[in-house]
Amino acid sequence: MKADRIAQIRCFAVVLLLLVGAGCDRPVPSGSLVLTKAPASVAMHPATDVLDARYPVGSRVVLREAPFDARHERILSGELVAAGSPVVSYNGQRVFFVGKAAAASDWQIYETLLAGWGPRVLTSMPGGAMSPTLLPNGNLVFISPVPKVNAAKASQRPSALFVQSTGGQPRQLTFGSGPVLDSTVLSDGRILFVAMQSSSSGSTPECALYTINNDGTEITAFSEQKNPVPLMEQPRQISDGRVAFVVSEAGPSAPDGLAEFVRMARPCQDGSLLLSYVKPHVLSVQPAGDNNLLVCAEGQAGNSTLPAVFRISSSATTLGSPLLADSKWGFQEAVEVSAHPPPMGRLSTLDFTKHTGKILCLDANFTRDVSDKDPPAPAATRVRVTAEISPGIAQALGEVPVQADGSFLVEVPADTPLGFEVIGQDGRILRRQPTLVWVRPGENRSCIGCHEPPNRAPHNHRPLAVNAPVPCLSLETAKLAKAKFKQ
Amino acid sequence: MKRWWFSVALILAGTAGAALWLKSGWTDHMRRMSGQKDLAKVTCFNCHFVSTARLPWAKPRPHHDAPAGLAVSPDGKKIYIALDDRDEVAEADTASRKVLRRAKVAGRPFGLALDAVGENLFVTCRDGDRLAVLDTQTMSETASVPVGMEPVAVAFCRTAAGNRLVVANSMSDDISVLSVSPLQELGRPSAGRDPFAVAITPDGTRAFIANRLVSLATGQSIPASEITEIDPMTSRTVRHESLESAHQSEGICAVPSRSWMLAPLVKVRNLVPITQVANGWVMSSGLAVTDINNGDVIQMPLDEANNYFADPAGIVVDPAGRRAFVASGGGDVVTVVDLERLAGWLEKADRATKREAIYDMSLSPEYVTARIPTERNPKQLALSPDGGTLFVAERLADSILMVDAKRLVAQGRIVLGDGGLNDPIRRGERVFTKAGYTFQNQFSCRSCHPDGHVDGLSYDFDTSGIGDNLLDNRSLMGVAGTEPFKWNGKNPTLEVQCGPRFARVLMRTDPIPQKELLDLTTYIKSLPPHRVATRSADGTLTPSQERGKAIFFATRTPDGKEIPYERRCSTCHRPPLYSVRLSFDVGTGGLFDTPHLLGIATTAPYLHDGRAQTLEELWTTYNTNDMHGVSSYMNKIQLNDLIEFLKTL
Amino acid sequence: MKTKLNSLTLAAGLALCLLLIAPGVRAAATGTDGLPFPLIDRFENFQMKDGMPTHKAHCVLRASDGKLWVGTYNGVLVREDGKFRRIGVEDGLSHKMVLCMVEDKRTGDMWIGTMRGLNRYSAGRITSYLQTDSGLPNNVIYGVDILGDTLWVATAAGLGALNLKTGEWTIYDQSNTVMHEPWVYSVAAAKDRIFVGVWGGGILEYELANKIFKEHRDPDRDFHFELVHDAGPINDITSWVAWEDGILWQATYFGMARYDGSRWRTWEEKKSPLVSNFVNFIEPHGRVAWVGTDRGISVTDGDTWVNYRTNEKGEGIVEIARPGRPVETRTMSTKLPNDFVLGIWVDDQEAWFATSDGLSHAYFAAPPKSHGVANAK
Repeated sequence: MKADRIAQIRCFAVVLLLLVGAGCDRPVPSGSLVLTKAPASVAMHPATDVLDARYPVGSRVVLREAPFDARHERILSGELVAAGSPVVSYNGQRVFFVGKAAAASDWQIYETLLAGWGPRVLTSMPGGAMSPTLLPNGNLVFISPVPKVNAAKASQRPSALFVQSTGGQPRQLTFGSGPVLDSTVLSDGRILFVAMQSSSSGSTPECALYTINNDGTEITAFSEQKNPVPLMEQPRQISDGRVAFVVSEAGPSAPDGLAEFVRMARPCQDGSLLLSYVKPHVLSVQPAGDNNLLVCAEGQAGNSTLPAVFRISSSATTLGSPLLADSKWGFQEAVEVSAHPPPMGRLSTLDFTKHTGKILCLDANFTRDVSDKDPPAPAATRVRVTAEISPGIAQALGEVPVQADGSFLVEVPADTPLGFEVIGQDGRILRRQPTLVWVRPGENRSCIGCHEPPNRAPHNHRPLAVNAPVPCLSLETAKLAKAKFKQ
Repeated sequence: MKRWWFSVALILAGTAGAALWLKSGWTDHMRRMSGQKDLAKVTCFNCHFVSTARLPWAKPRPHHDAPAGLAVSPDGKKIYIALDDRDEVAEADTASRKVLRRAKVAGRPFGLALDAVGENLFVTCRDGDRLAVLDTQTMSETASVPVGMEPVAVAFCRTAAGNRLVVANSMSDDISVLSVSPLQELGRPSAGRDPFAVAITPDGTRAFIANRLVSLATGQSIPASEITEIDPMTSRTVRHESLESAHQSEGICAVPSRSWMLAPLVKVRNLVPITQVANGWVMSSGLAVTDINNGDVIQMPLDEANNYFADPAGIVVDPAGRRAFVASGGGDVVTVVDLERLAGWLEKADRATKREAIYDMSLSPEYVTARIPTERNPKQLALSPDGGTLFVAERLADSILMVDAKRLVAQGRIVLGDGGLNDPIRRGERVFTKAGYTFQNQFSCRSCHPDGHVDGLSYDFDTSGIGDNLLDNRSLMGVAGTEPFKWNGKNPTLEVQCGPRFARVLMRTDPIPQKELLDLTTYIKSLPPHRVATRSADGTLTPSQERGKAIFFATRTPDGKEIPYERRCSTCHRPPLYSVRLSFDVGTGGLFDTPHLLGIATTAPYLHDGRAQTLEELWTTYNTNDMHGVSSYMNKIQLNDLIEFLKTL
Repeated sequence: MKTKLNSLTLAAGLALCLLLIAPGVRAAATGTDGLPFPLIDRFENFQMKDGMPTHKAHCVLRASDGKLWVGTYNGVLVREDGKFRRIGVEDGLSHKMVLCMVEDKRTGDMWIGTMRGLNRYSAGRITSYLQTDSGLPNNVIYGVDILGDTLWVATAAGLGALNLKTGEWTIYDQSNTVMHEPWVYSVAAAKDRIFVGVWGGGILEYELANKIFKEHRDPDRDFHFELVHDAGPINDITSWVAWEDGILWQATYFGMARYDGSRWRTWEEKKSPLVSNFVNFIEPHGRVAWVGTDRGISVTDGDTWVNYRTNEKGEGIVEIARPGRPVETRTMSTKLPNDFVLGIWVDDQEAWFATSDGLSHAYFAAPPKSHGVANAK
């Protein structure tokens, strides 16, 4: 009897210890790395979407502590058949990533505690979710649906950015007509994302960087490359006021990825090579402490062609020896685990009791499309506002007058892709902008001109348009409009 | 028994009746005296039991070793530092970085200049309206001469007619030109509004004065400050160069070997509805490049496309004229401008490009080569005579940063005080001057409220509409105890005023954290009303001011007719704050919170949207139906008298 | 004998020489033709056909930097390097009709009075003061002058004083002074006092030290006739006052007067060489008055007069009236563009006249080679 009692107590104690031990946070040393690694030999499945192309079956997200060998590795993605795109929270305690529960299932966003238990799914988006990134208040930003490999096909519902609070429902943030491909949060609190648009010549679609606020307001072109590329991925703010990204001509995971950067101080200059000494293919560049970079690049580590991880200073001129290389695994992404200051937050100005927003243009005649050498352009007299009512189909909502100083003010439907046509006195369309922009409910949005030169501040004057009644255009008023055309 | 109950009932009924009578009487009293139909916001304290003696700004506060003006001795071995909060001038050794001596100089010493041999230190005393002379050997005051009001800067120069001193008088909007021997004022040419810095051309023939505020303009006109150019020999004005939509120039410096004067500025966009902050929408920092020969000014940006360096202050140029250093008081950096690259860009640019340069937020990397981090609130700068060492007054850190000006590396600090972080007022001032609370660090509270006062502009804040909310910028000086806030009176406290809504509509970031917010409001409440210009030292009023006072408190017009209670000046503007802190309709389009009148003389323009340029216009132009006080009976002399009285508040 | 004759001859010769030389000496000491002030040799006129923006010029002065300023019906003209530059409302001037100007020689600022407001022109920057936005008594500015740190402004509704250092305005009118009425037409600064010409109220004298106003009224109180001579202002309708070198000059539409602080002298056209009773303006130069009237110019030191006018034949003539001698009349080859003279500026070398039909530049006849003694302004 007594022995039984002792045994019970022992058993109970062990269970208790196990439970306690399991519940205790085991701190992860700062400087550890969260990695995406893909097996060298993998059964090829046809990639239906961009994540399938990037993360083959068997890809996993792992944590490695110093000295970063396989013995100090812990799988974070659990039993997921594929995983990638890790993002570490600002307090350095959580990891968010994309994962697939089964080969046929959609990619979704998962979260795991670095010092705790295994992953739990956060999203259940039809078509999947990808590219997780975090706002300073802990809200998750992601892209959905996961674009198909040929993401430019207009007939597909374009992927957009969404935001989701803990336990909350996802809310859409972007409403442009082109798909969103990747995103990050800048230190000033804006969301920087890559979107694909049809080129002005209508041939190869082009990628460009845009920003929005954390509530989807103030859609703005961040940088425009004179020599656009078909694919841009992994935008990341790195040290010295730069934004790095990976560009590729051939598409996702093609062996031609190059790392480029633009300066925050003048983002509309052409991208410069970030690692001019690195042959393609670069898979990712992530900021690390002490102004370092974590670079995953292929074909740089000795005889191995598998991607390896390199840690370099931002002023380095060579990659040096890899921090991590493996003959059986390629390392696609490496993110440092550390607590770091979150980006600046922002209180939203949205008013969800409204279904419209307002747009003020200070001078529709101010444009970069006309140079000083051209003859003086005719002045704008009206602006026609168009809206994309279904993918690829734009409809005119109506026209608003342009004041003598070139300004116009209009109330437009919210959360709708909008475009503009600037019309001269003779009825000729002087400039046209496709349906790239939108306003959020209750948003007051301004611009300086119509396709004005980038990074321009406004002249200080009172636009005449604010003194006139504000015309309100809507899909209802569009029924009266006669212009219906295919974009 | 019955009688007892009856008595109790009678007493209770009597008490109830008295209470009812008191309440209705009281309500009548409040309704009548306040002019308000809705008494929800009216208390006894709107009219009674108000004492300025109990307000935070009336109480003693800690003083700090905040450095103001700097002057480096000709041999580079000593630096003199004005400590205006202490009424002291300190002398420090540049090699050991130690303070050697401190001299008492009464009246808030602020601006400093040495004569050519470093024997005499000239000190502007901001509160004393005087220029003091210190013997640098003994660090004692040897002479003093009255100048204009609130002198803040002084420059020494040699002219063909003898040595001169040029003093910027910030409150009287003029310039004192003095001879040194004898020390006397020779002339008082007019400047712009709030002249703040003086620089002399290398040949000594011209003095340039930077002015902080825009000249008076109505709410919707395009504002402009100016750079004033005078001849220090004759004290005659040579030019006034207009800086369109630019203001807050707190420094100016000549460029040796080029015919340039450089002055930092803030390019403001107050007329554009503030629907966003990005892309310099509210303001940005820049540099005015003035051609000394013809007065042409080109404005060049100093900020970047996605980052701003707010509140530019002092500027110095190295002796070779290769680099300029500009302090960013809100950004805690010193910006380094390569003047050769700047000149190269200017040479290639055509007129239109130069005119548009200030609007191109991506231009500055062409010539800005470095940003040197500093401690809080760098303001005045000085260079050693050989250009080897840059001295940066870190005003809210109580220290002088010393930087190797060639390698751009910090060498160390002259520590003047402890930084004052135990003082919530000082902590609050650090919040007030920090641009990091706004989107991309574009501006700080101080950007619109220099010294806690006004910038003389109206801004169009974002509401549900666009362009329908142009509001005059109000002074923060003396606001303690005058809640509620905002022109519509909707913010009951300063904490609400500076809290989430402000973050949403202007800062475009998260709100200031609670602890910092409390420090911020503590600082704001500590700001006393702006100094009064026109009251005599013993507080007596002139005959005109007395007559004006009688008009202000009049209950009848001169012909005996009673002025309705609600139309008397003193009803809404009741002393001691000269506001009952309730909202009234004064015929300008809505109900507006009654502003207090303390320091009113210096807060032009007036009314909620800044439509009145001067106090006179409140009654000559914007009170035709006597809704803003009965004034239609007044002749011009009476109006002048009233205004002279208001200037004493 | 021979010695006596030689001495006599010598003395006679000397006397003859003196007689010959003396007029010249006197002329050299006092001006041409033995006059105590310069004689105008010719006029150079500027009218609309020469580029003036308007017919009427109201006032003229030469600033201390040498530039000539002309106030006209249509803005201000500034003459430098032989060319006129116009400043108008488009440059910030409060009104096109400029009535008066004064220079603050300490700073070079020009104060410009117009029909609608006062303007401070400082190196190109114009700051305007109106009765609605400042302490200015009234927008109609007839006269301005500066004494020390105070700008004095004569307006249609009182006298204004602006303290240039403090910005404080003080208004004087009939309610707080002995002023007969508030229509103040002119103000002149003396060393320690100012004189104010009051339309219908004679002249006020304000002592700055005592802050006392004193009235000088026409002793006979008759607007049309001068019944009492040399006893006070010639008339109460003062159109202009001017002061220099201790002498106050009064212009009225019924003659002119002079006051040296103790004695008055008055002149009217019928009883003196004054060219016309309708005196618009007087500009003293030393103790010589240059008088602008509706019918030409008189120049006088009180005893000697020289008039410039147009005769019935349309010729320009000069009439020289020396004491005790008949009036000498000469025809001039040039003349004023118009005899209605509203403003005058004079120095040792030249004179300028603002008239109803243009501006006139008067060149003085060259004095003899011995030195003149005209006072510098």
